[in-house]
Amino acid sequence: MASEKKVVFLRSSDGEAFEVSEEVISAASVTIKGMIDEESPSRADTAATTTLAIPNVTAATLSRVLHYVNKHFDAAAVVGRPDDYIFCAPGDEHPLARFDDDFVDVDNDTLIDLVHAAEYLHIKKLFDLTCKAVADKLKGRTIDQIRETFGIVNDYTVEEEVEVYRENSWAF
Amino acid sequence: MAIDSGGGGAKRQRVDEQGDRCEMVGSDAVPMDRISALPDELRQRILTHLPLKDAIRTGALAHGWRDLWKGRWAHRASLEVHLRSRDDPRRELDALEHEPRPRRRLDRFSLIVDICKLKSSELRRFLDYASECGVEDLHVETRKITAADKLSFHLPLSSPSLACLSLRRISVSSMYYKGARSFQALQVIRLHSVNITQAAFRKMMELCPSLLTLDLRDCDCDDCFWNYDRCLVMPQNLRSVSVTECDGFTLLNMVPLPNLRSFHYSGHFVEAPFNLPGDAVLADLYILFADSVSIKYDAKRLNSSLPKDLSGLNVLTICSNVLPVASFLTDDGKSAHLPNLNLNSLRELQLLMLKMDAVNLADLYVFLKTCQCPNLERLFVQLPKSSYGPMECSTDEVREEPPENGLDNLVIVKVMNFNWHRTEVELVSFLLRKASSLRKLLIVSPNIAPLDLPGVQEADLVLFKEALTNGKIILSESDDAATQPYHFEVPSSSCQ
Repeated sequence: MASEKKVVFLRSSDGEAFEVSEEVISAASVTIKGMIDEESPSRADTAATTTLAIPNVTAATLSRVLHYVNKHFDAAAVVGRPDDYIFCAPGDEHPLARFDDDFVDVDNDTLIDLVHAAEYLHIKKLFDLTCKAVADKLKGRTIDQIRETFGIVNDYTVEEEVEVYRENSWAF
Repeated sequence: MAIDSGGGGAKRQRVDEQGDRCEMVGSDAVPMDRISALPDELRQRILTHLPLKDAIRTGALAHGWRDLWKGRWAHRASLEVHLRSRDDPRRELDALEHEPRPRRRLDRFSLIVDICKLKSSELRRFLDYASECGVEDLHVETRKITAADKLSFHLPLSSPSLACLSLRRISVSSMYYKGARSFQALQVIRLHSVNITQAAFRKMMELCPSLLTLDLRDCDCDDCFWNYDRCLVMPQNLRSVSVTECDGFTLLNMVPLPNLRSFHYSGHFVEAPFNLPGDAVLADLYILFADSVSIKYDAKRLNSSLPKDLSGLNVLTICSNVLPVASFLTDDGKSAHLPNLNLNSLRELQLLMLKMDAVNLADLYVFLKTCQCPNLERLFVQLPKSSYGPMECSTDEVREEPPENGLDNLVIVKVMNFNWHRTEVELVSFLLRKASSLRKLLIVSPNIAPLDLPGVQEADLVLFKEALTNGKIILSESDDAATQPYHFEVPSSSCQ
């Protein structure tokens, strides 16, 4: 029973520490589970809590990620399937679909930070969710609209651009 | 533990230092935006959430995106099956059908049939497989007439992702599977050397409500667009129609397509071969007639079959057989202000000169005087490939004064197949004189040394040589691939 209540601290790149249930974060993040497993022999005999450095993720992003992870884990627990760690994509008939939609309804920089964090922490469903959210900002838009949205500088010459259009003209 | 996190900190510092250095090195260059700065692999993962069409479009954003979409799936997502021998169909089908389910995703599936032994049932199995893979770009082609005779193409029963369908040398069946659902994602249909009956075409249009582009080339069409019993329902968003060298039409009736933006016609001129919606706002128009519009009645008919207002047109390609229209329309002096002769937005004009005699140059002058195109920036002139010797060319005088102005924004001119004939030199010297902003005049000619042909005006030739010396004219034997007209023929092996 005691092991279920274990917590770990995650220290962001800018030095802020966040507390999270070990069970929750291990189920969510392959990367952190690996870190905890590496640590466990040395701390099995002590009651000390573990602090893990997450050097690639800022406090702002990490707190969002943990919000997501906690929400999803809690929801899975409520449904009565704590082991079956289900995340779902937006649009699914799932109580968290709405939460997910709101979660990725953020500015581009925040969203890209989340993509990086999800990839680094190896949280597959969050990674899919954030990648899909970026994709949605590319879908059905004109090239100019996308460039403007993300501040992409067009470094093609006119001739190169025409060549790209020609290669697959049906798509334009 | 403390040591561990200290180690992490030290590492972080190194990363930061590196980051700073990168910034300093890159400070001269354009700072990269955050999405482009994502590693290729991450961006490819993002692209897997897009339909093929949107994924392809990201290739046009910037260099760093160019071919990224091609590798977005971990597996090969473009498959070409080429059936050359009698044994191929069964072997290929077995291999494909034994792939584990769920099937891999296919961006593109291309089936090329060289043999005449493919059964219709086997063709259907190939198509079903492609459909199970969620294919978005489907190409089916036969290369031998004997193979084409036996086969006909059925739209697969269901293919919800199909976005682009291209068929070459295969009949389209008028029989459809019972319960065939509409192809909601299908936006582009290209038919090349295809026989299609009126009934098959009608059914196809019914099943493709999202169609944007229809391209028919060398097809036998059985008067597909004829709508005598009003049974033909065209997809309402269809915005680009191209009909090239097709048989079987009496009239291409485009009137039910108010959203038409792009129209290409190449073929015979019989009275008025097409009828465009009067209120369409065309962005580009291509007209190539095999025979000349040589009587006033035809010119009027042609004029009335065009949209009423062409002032939004950006790109126009016409051939020398169309040029006389301008003179027929203006010879009574009243039609000079016909609204569809106002080409205010025209940026690019391509002239396909099937002949370049004095009368053709005169037609061109009249056309430029009649159709106001003050914003023209790019002019492409395709001269006839000279099958006749230089001596046989006409030395008639051009009985029309060149226009005085109207080419002030012309920046680039490219002339193909230049052969030093009198009218050709005159055209070039006219452009040198009147296009005040001209920066580059590219001339592609089999003879890069000036020929001295009879009839060529001395003054014209002097001007030409002067421009050659000061670098305004760039004369070369080979085509410069970088500067091509918008209506440039691309090899149509696929859904291009």
